[in-house]
Amino acid sequence: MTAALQAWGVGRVGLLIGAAVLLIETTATDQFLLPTFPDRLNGWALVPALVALTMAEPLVDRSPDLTRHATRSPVVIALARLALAYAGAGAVAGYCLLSPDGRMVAAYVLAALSLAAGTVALTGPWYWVPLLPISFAWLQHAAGDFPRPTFAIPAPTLVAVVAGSCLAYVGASAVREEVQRRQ
Amino acid sequence: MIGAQGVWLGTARVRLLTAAALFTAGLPPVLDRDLSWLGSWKKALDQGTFSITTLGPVAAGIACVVYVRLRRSGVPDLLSQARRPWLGWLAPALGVWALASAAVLLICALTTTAAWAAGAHTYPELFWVVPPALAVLGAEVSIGAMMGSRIGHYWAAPWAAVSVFTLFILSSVGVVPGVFRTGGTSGSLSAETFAIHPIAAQAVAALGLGVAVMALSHWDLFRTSSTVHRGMCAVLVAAAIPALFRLHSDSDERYVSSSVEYECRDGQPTVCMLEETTRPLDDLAARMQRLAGPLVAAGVALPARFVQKLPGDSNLDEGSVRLFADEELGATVTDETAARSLAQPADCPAYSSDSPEDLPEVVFTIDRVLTHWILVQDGQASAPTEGGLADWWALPAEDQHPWVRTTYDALSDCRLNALRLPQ
Amino acid sequence: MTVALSGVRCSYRLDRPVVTIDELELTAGPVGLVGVNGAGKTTLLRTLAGARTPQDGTVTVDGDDLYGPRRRRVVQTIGYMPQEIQFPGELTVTQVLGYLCWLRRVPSRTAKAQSAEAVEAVGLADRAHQQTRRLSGGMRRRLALAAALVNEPRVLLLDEPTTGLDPEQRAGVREIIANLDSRCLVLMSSHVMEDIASVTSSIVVLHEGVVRYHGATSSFVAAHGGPNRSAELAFLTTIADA
Repeated sequence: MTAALQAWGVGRVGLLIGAAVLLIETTATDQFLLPTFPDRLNGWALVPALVALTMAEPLVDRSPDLTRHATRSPVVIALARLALAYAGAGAVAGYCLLSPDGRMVAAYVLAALSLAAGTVALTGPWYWVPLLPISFAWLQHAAGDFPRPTFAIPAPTLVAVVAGSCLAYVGASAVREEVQRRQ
Repeated sequence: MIGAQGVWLGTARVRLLTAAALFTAGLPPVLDRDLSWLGSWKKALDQGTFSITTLGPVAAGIACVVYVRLRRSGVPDLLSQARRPWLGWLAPALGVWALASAAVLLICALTTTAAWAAGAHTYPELFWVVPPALAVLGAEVSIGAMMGSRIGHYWAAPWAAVSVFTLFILSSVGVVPGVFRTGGTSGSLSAETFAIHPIAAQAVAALGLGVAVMALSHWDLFRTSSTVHRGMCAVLVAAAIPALFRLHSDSDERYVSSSVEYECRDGQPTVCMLEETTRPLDDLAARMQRLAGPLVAAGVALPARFVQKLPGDSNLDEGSVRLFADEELGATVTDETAARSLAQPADCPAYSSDSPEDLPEVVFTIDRVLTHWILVQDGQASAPTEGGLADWWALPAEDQHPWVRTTYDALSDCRLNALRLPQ
Repeated sequence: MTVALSGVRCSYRLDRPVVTIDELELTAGPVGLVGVNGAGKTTLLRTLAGARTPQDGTVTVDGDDLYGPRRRRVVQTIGYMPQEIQFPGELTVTQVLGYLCWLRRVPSRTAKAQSAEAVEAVGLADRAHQQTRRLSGGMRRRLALAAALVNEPRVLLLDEPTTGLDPEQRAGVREIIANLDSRCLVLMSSHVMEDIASVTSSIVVLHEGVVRYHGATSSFVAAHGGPNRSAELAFLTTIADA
């Protein structure tokens, strides 16, 4: 399993957790004005967006030639990849929980990774292309207000979102393997 | 050269899809909230170039992918044998930049055409701001290409995109020189225009940065380019350094004041708005001319013209068109906006004062009462039945006219200390 | 170890089958698979590796249907070295093989030893901790062979394993194949008839997707190779007659 984690970039995930903690400590509690944003933007709003864009990387199969030789079920491989990505996002979410206002952000970190997982399921290695404009739209939507109680994600909704994206990702992985075998 | 670009960007269909993806990626900054830029052609152009905020990072990511492929293919070794190795290395980046630029140009064309179709006055001579924005886009693409070439792994693509997006944020908040900010003002740009010097400095800085980054992406190939080429690159990089310093100090001066032109709708009263933001003028003039009826009936002397003022200006002979930013850019206004403007028959210097002696508190209450009175007379609002003025509101209109006349006269003459609430 | 194909038809376009094999049975030992470019060798190897479902027919490995409900268990016994394989450049040789062991469900208690054995077998022991991006083309081919060997397969499918190797490396690969367990079925495709003739005990000649010859390599060379017993001439004569 260690070898698989290494192949999927566990080192990079560790690096990203460190970068996210640095971002939270230096920028997240600040406010700044960005063009077109009528209100000052809370640095917290950047955290879910950046987690989604970078932490989803282990979900992308960068060595399909090796995966083609797998005898493990694609479902198991997909679940293991999800476990690594969610472990990274979970660590960031956990750190958010330790900060004031961070409770709401933690839920968004997990929801953002879910969105990224869904996007990976649909677009594979190009997941970041749709995520970037979505992130910008999120920043516009959240400008000045995030995190506020109005943004709270109810726990059942969060669970449904995470579970739904995992299902989509696992399903897409299984379908992709089947399609490859039929080509 | 074109062929070389094409090979690395895929088939014609793939290139078309890439351009479509880039176009789509550039839309979120443009489709913000209520498309307020429809009300100002200058703002529409500014918003078009602002699409680089999300389009640029995607272009950087795509360039990163292309250069990862290029590096893994072993082509750089073949290029070193080519007649123009450096141009061969640059070609894919130029191809990505060309596709991304086409997407930006299309977005700019769409926003400005839409603003024109919505009735905004056009300023085609201002299209000069687009090439500097495309230079910034080139710098972003070069960053992606450099990361792809140096890292050599596909996972670098989202990192390249995030890095470029972060540079935009840092540019916008002033942490780094404002090279990566390409528009997105929250104002309407009425009586303003694009400042030539900061934007030219931005273009020079972006070009220098792009050239330097591309050279670093494959230093060995860069060294094989001709002396003239290397000299030109060195000049651009050298020019970029003072430009960066200039941008650091002038990051907020992308826009400067321009000459003020008005467009008017004749009537009683005549209503004038700044030429850049005339979208709601017809509606505003019609409403103001209709709502002026009760004031005329009350016997007040209306100013001949109501004019949209600029901050800091004052004119005792003309009324003020008072619009909030959203109203200034909207297609229509409300009766309340029209009544609010009618309730200010002169733009008194005291309105910009902080001193209660010059600007008594009662002015604000009277402004609300007068605005509401106009709306009540037109049947757009009902008279309050509660509060300290309930008795006055209950009087017949003829009995209210003396207070309206006295108040309006005082407002017209800027005798703000003479203002009194109705008894 | 027996691999049997029955009524197998593989096609990329419905109207043009790439491989059509009515019956073919391969038994333990080194088997050569020869054919001109586009004969269908790679498609056949992929189908035998469990990586490509045939449009029709069955493939069995020791009686178990390769594309049946026990597919994963059957594939576990097969090692496949494709013509081209991209390794993640940032991983070392050992890490790549460790990852493959995980993908191929090699128990973790034996994975390390099996990886080391595979690395040793292909002569990459001194490069075990080198990143794959720093390996030469020949070394990468050997790593691909190690990847096919890592789960100690009973069926080994090699798609042109000697392509791109220098004479010394080719001899090394031939030696590896010769040293494999005799109960193991090795199906090796190649353009180099010298390799096939020197390593294999039986041969399959594939032409336009159809098996033109299947039998002992020595008989094949003797029957079709002319007075000089040239393997190359034997191959050319066979496909010319087809």
